[in-house]
Amino acid sequence: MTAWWDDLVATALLGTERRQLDVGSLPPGIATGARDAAEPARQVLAAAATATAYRRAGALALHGVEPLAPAAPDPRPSLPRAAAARLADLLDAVDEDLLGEWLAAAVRHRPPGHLVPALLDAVRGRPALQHVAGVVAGPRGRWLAGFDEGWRRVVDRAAAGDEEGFGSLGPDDTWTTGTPAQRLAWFAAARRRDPDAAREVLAASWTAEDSRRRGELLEVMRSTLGPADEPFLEHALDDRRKEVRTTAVAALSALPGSALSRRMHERLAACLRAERRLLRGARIQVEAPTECTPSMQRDGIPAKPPRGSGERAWWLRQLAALAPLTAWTELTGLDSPDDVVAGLAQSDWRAEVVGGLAEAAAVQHDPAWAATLLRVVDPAGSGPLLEAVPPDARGPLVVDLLREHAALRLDLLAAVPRPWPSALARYVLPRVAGRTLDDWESRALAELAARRSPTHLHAEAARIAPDHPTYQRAVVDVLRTRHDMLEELR
Amino acid sequence: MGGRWSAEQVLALAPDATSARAGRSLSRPSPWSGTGTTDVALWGECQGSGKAPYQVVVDITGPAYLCSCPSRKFPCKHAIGLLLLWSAGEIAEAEPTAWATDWLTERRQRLTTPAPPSRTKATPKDPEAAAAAVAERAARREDRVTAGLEELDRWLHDQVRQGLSRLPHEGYEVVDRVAARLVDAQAPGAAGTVRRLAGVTGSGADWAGRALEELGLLHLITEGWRRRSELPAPLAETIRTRVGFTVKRESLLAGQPRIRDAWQVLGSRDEVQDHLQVRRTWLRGRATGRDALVLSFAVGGQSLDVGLVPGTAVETDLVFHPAALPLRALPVAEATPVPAPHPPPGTDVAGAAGSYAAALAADPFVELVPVVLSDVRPAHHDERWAVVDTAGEAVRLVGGEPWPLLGASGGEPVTVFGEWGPRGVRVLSLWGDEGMVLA
Repeated sequence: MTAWWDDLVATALLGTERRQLDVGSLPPGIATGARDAAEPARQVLAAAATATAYRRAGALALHGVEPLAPAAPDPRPSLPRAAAARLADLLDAVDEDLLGEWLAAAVRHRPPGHLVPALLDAVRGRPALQHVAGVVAGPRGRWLAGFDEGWRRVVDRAAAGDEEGFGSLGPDDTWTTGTPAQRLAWFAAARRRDPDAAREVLAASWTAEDSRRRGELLEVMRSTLGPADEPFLEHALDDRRKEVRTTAVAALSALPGSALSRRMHERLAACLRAERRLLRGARIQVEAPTECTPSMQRDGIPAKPPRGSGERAWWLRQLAALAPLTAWTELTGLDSPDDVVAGLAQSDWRAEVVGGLAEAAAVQHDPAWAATLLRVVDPAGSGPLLEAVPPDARGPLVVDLLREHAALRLDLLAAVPRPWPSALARYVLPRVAGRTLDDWESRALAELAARRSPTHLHAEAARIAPDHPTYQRAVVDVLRTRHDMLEELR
Repeated sequence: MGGRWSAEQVLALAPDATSARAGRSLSRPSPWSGTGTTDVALWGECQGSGKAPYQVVVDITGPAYLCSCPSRKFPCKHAIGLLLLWSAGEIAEAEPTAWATDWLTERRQRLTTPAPPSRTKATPKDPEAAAAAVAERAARREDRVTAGLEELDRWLHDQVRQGLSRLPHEGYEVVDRVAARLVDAQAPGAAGTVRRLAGVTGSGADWAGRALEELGLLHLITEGWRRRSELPAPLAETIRTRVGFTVKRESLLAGQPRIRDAWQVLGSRDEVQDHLQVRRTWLRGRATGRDALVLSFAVGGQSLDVGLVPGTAVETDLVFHPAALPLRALPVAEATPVPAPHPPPGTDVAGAAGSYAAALAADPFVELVPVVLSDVRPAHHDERWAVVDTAGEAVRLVGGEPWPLLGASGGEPVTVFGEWGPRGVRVLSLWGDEGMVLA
């Protein structure tokens, strides 16, 4: 600040009784007004009045300020007007489900730049949306992430599914110096490009990886598994960390023909015996393992059961979960999963075996086994099993299951992801409309039907019960909003 | 703008986010029937949960709304929904229905006939006696203000004589007492400046400097009041405004010229002052180049006057409050939408600084002037945000993190509109690749 102003302030602070103002030191324009004043305090006030305008008028422009380096261009076409307005609306009061559906449909467009900060903010506490939000935010989001640590994390997560996302860093740089999220993203992309080379890179640094990261990296590997990965996974069975071992076991059990699968096949053979009976199908005799050898433990069968479960029952269940599903038909000579499950009906160990088989069907992604087991397991555990069924087969299967249960099973329906197959929605919607929708379960069903039914059914859904205002509001309005919101993106 | 508004502009009218959302859910054709539009109005019937549909009319020129629904939101979701439908081009031209015509005609008449004088409780028979009573009241107030400001002057004098360093120890009550006496003396404007002094005192490293600035401005008020008969009339008006005198709409209309122009609405800002919601809307005339500030007030949950939508332009008459730097204005005629340039023409940092200096030279009390800065890019300097023009001159940004500006610009040049004040620019709106954005 200028010396004369500081002098003026100092005089005012101490008071003119104690400190004299040197009017001569003031700039001429300010001094003139002050000189006219009769006595010192008034001189200070007069000078302050003029000086305030004087200083305000002159004080502002800064020099030597460098503008920020601009963001990378975003080649995507801009969002249609209505869709941009919709995004503003969705960010205004976040409905995680709707926003997630919108974002997934909007990845091919460039959002209006001024909404990108709000978008990154909206997903701060919503990990499930961060990946897709980061992709939608695009280069502008990556640029903004430089100004906020929370945004940085969102954008890193998006790079996990987007090769270009971190291309600027250079692959080797990212792998050696990136944040854990960036490294995970790099590894996922590298596995998709060249699984073997990526595995070699990982193997080179494996022992130096933080034990928690090892589990995450292995999990990434599982989604792109091939026979060449087996030695590496077999090696990971001896890892110190339990999560790493569990992931490796699951990966190996899903790898057809792996040594682990063969060992499990042999162990299973020792437990099964099939009796063929004329006209009544087969009966399978099951005998649970009587010990858990060190080799079984290494292969992922924990010796100590969880509280409340017997040792042998537990070992059997784990064995069924990890053995190749093909072993069941081969060892019993039966033709189909249905026959095997029927053959188990008399067994004392049926519950353990079915529980283990359900896990195996989910991990080994076997649709035939999944379809069979969905009919016999507790619906609460249907989610992973349904995922083993190809999407277009899920609808008819769930419709069948619902018919068999003669009820709208919320847990079963919750396991069918959006969008529901039309057949399923057409089965569920009229049954939801047939209820008064005044109890908790019905409302939850209505909500599920509204948010997961395919949007092209909105008009059909409206015609089902035109005089049921609750249904119209809870289901049809939501369905129509989803329809409009997706149409706007076309 | 001409013709239809954008969905953003419609949504800017919504009194809150809930209404905006509800309006959007009604912005599809199915619940509507009997819709139609002319150049100046639109109407329709909306099927709600009840038997009879709600009848909605919107006068676009106001805009003004009428809806038969019981909502106290203004505009209600039905009006917003209808406007959105119109904005999407889903309402066809038609002849107004009878119920729409009734309201529109009645509204036109109300606008064109002057409002009856509001204070009619005592209607003295003798107009001369009435005028004398008014003059006497005015003289009495002048005397009280003079006495109040003389007391303020002595207090100011004492502060500087004994030293400002005592102020923080004496506490808020002392300053507040001075302000309260000014309110009693019917000088609420001066009282406000004194209260601001209390807010400055003792807070921040440079408090003494800022307190001295406020003292200096108070000194200008007391001096200006003492010498008001010697001052040029507009400056005397500025002093009266600072003291706390207000000008009635009728006397503005009677005494000031109407300025007709295509006024572009550059931006607006809502503030809460003493439980009163204040919306400050900045306009700029295309032909006259004049800046204007329109204030509207609302108490509690009332909706603010939303006729002037940022991003639009209207042809209308404004009447300015007399002042050394006339900014505050009142729209006094029906507003016709006209096209608005995007982005509006602007200046560089030096030009804006120059206009602020010129404004201060005319009116030393001026706190904010409206500026349009063309081709500026965001920068981060000394831990604070700024914008830099093409000549490399920069100005600080005030008022929170500039995320919308940063997001819209991405480091590329944009045009910004904002309030230029003593500490920097507060950006209210900006124009980038995607059109206008409210900051």
